[in-house]
Amino acid sequence: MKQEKIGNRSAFFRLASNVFFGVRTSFRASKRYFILKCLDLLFDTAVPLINIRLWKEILDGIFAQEKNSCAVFLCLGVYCALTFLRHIEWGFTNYLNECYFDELSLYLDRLQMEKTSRCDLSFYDQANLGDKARQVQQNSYVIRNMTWSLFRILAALSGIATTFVAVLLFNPWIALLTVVLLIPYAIVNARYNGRVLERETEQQRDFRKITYYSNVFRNPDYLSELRLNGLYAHFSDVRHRLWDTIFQKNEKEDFRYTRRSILLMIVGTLSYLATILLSAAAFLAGTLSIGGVQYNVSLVSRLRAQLENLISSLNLFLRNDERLTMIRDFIDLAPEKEKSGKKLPPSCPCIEFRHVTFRYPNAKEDVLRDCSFVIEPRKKIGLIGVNGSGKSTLIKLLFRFYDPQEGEILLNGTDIREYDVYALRASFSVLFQECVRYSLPLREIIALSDFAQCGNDEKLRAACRASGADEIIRDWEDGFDSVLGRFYVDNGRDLSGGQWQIVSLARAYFHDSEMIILDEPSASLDPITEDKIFEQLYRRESGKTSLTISHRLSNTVRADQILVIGDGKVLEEGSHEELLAKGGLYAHLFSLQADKYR
Amino acid sequence: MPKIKLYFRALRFSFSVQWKANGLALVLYGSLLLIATTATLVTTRLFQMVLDAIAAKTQLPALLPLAVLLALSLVLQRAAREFSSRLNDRARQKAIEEYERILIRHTSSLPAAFIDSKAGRILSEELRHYNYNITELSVSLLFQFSEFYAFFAAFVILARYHLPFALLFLALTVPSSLVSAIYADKTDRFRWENSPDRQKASYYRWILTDPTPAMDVRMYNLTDAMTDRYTSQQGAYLTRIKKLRAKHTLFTVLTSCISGAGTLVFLLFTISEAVAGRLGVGSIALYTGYAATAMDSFQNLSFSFGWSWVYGTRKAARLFEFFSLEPEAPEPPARKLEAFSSLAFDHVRFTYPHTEKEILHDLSFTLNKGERLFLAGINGSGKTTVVKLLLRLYEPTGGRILLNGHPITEYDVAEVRKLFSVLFQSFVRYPLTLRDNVGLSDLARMDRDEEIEDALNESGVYDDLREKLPDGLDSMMTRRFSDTGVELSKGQWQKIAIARAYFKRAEIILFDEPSSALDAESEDRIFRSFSEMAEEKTGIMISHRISGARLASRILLLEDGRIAEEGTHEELLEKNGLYARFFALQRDKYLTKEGV
Repeated sequence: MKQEKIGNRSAFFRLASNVFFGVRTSFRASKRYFILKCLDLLFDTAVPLINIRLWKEILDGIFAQEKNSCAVFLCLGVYCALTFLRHIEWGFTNYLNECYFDELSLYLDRLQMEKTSRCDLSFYDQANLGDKARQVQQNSYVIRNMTWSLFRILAALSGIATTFVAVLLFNPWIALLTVVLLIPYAIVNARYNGRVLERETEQQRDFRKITYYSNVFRNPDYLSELRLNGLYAHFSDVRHRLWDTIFQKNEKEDFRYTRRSILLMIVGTLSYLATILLSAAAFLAGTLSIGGVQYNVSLVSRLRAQLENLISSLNLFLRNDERLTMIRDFIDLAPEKEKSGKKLPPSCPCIEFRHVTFRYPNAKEDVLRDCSFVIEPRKKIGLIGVNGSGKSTLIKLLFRFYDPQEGEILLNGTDIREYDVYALRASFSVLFQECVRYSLPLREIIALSDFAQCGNDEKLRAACRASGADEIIRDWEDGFDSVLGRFYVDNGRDLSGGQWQIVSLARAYFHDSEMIILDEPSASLDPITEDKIFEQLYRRESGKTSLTISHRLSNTVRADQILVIGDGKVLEEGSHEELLAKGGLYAHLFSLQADKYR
Repeated sequence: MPKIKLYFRALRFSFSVQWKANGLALVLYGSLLLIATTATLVTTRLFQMVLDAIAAKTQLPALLPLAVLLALSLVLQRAAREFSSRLNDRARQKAIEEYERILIRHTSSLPAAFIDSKAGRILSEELRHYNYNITELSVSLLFQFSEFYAFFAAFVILARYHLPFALLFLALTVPSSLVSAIYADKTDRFRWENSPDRQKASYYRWILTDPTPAMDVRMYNLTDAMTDRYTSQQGAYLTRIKKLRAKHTLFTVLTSCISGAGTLVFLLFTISEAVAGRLGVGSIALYTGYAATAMDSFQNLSFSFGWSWVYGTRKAARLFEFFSLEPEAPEPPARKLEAFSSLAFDHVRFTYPHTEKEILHDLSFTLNKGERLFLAGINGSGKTTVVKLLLRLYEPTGGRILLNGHPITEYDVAEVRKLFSVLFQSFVRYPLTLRDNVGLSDLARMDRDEEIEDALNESGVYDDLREKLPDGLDSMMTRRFSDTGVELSKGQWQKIAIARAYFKRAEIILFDEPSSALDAESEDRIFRSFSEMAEEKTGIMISHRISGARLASRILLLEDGRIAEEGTHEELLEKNGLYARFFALQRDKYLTKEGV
């Protein structure tokens, strides 16, 4: 019992803080439009109420026995002016709404971009966080709606307050009746609303799946496989079945609710009937003018409409509240900066992994278990291991995309957590295993690694020479300004898998640093290019530390030191000759490939 | 004239979608609208009668029936509106779903080249957003009918009261309706013309929010740079649309003044009539009520029709353009595909659509049943393009491809594709179950656990994977749709894609860079299985690992879209050309140091 109370209270606080958040966000998005919108709302609420009142005076003025024409004319004048103003305001409201909508969207988009790109990489590994992020992406309208419905609630409340007082003055019983008759309607609505929320959470993943299946049909990356195996019919069947199941279930519930809600609404109309009869009685008794009759009837039907409005706005508001909590959870995720230290990393340090144990969030087993090794400055290191042994994970830990659960990673004896995280990353040049096929001008694709230098053609040329990308772009008329991909231009150039790898390598070289990390640099490269890039690495970049992951063991033969990873730790370590002499896993893997060339 | 035709065609389309999705519910919706409108008119009239009765000092018992009737009519009006709006919610969902299904069906029949183009992407993205606008056209028509009915009824009553004033009143509402229709048209054109710009902005957003470039973003701290680009791109668009909007607002306010003046003139006229004693209190309520109804209905009608017209002509035109695109295999194929015997490229030339550079020049070769073909070449020489042409994802721009001696275009394209088990260089990673990931290459056999396991074993990934699977073959891969989903390394994914190719057990095996991410052991396994597969199977392998070429019966070396060298491993070594150089480059690295 007590706990429930606390639960309720915290739910209330959460709602309150969500409201605060919603209002603050909408205010920050555009102060000017926010204030204008508030004024507009005020106008919208006040004018009809004033007009109803004026109308009473006008009618009474026309039909009253003794005429006070001066007052009536004044009322009429104000009434006309206000009506006219309202017409003008309609024209502006639209403008205001659309402009505010744009500003708010821009603001929220930027917020989402900022937050997503600054939070930990592990964010993408968790389905529930992924749900939240997608919520933000799809539901940036929630904050907008929150503000909108807040406005609507405020308008309804202020409207109701004034109308209610006015009705109260006429007849307290009618006022009470109007409110009481709507209570069952409100309850049914609230219950249904709760159900819709529940449903949304339950069905969220199914709906994401439906979207996934829809996107499959339009995704160029899926194109070849889907056509090859004739999968379109299959995917549309799966999608349609999923949709039909959900829809039918929801439809049944919705129907039950509609029936109930309409019945209760009819009950609510009784107060209207009562008002007519009571007003008529009052008129007959001579206590009410004919203008007063119409005034009362208008008031009561307005009160009822406003109450109904309030109920639906409140429900919408609560529905958004739930989504907003999700968005705020996401926004409150700690940015990477917060885990960052302050020190600047040394240039070309000694790198040490000391008893490092790591598993991915939510994963069942360790990827690395008590893994230790040392990389001396300016050494060439080869990293070898079977698929799934954790080679790429090592790199992610070194860059602090993830932090190990146990053990530490040291640069010159200092834990990497003490360094500034972005400076730490900037001290490496890296080629990731997965090269992203960006749809941007070539210049930007290469310069992503040092975006401030985007306009430096000299540097771009040097990076292209080092990676072999100069061969690819030799006959491109637009040079570095050629757009790749067909995302937003029709004549965008498309590169082959190997060429993409070369361009990614150019990006790694574009960024100056003393340490180079290459994850499978030659996976899709032809023998000549492969030879060239390793020549570059071992001869020309000899003053730098390098770490190369490769399954083509010929590429790491020349390394100063080869680390063989397996079972989450370093199994073998030494130069090529030492490892061959040892006759272990490395020797086995090497001879498997070498034998084919004999 | 053609626009009217287009509009009617759009209406027809919308009706057929709605009818298919909702059937009789559509009729019910229409009837409810009529009931609601009628009830609104009746309510206003009853209200006048009640007021007049009260003013005439009618006693309560005599007043009661009239008052009850008024309440009933009000109830009917509100119930009908409420019910029709719920019905509309439901109908809308169903119609939008039906529309999406039509789009999906048509998209899947279109040539690959279309989907892979900018125009295709923009069109199919845009059309998706039209779902509501287009399906709603027919419902809007019902709405317009009911609004017209309300307007007409109210107008007739007003006209009977005073024709000139009614006409004046009507005339004054016309300009604002016109403005909204013109604005609808302009806004749509503006949005369409600017959609490439908006796409560009959304691309910068994609970079910062999608998992694909997430590591680059963090590595290079790209947040600020990309946000700036997004903001300037999007900001420029917003400034432009704001200008358009401001102009429109100016006109709206002007025309609103006119219609406002109309309302006032009518109001003052009514009041002056009342003052002169020609109108009772009920009649004032009646006429002002009907004037409001007439004006609202007329504005709703013109507004709704204005937008409908824009959607039905502009947006629908894009939809019909999409429908009129030629499907991938337009004519029913004439020739029945017998067992595979040979495949030949006959002077094939190819240039990708929208580009100038020819990728393949005059390419000719033949592949006979049982052969093992190895395709080598430097990066960008057109190897993967050969695969795309073979599978008819693109059509050659010159020359022909022959299957069993006949042009490949004479066969049913689906039949041709059934011949191939393919591992693509950029294979798909389905965030679905492991069973889906393997079995999707042959749906009919997808439920055969044993065969799926065989394929996984053959590619060598099952030993690794087995203990990680929470639900066996039905475990989800990746955490996208499940918290217990299994995450894999790139090499493991490649092996699963290979298992998918094996599972199909088609006549021709086609591997494009099968070992790019594989460790030595797995590579050895794949190469061996390629050379040791059954005699009657045919194989094509594309790889930079020249060691694999020795296992092939014939090697083709592509250079700049032409065949530079052709022969067996020994023949090509003897020739001492590019192939020999490739081989030596790789061999030397393994063997020179080993001897030391």
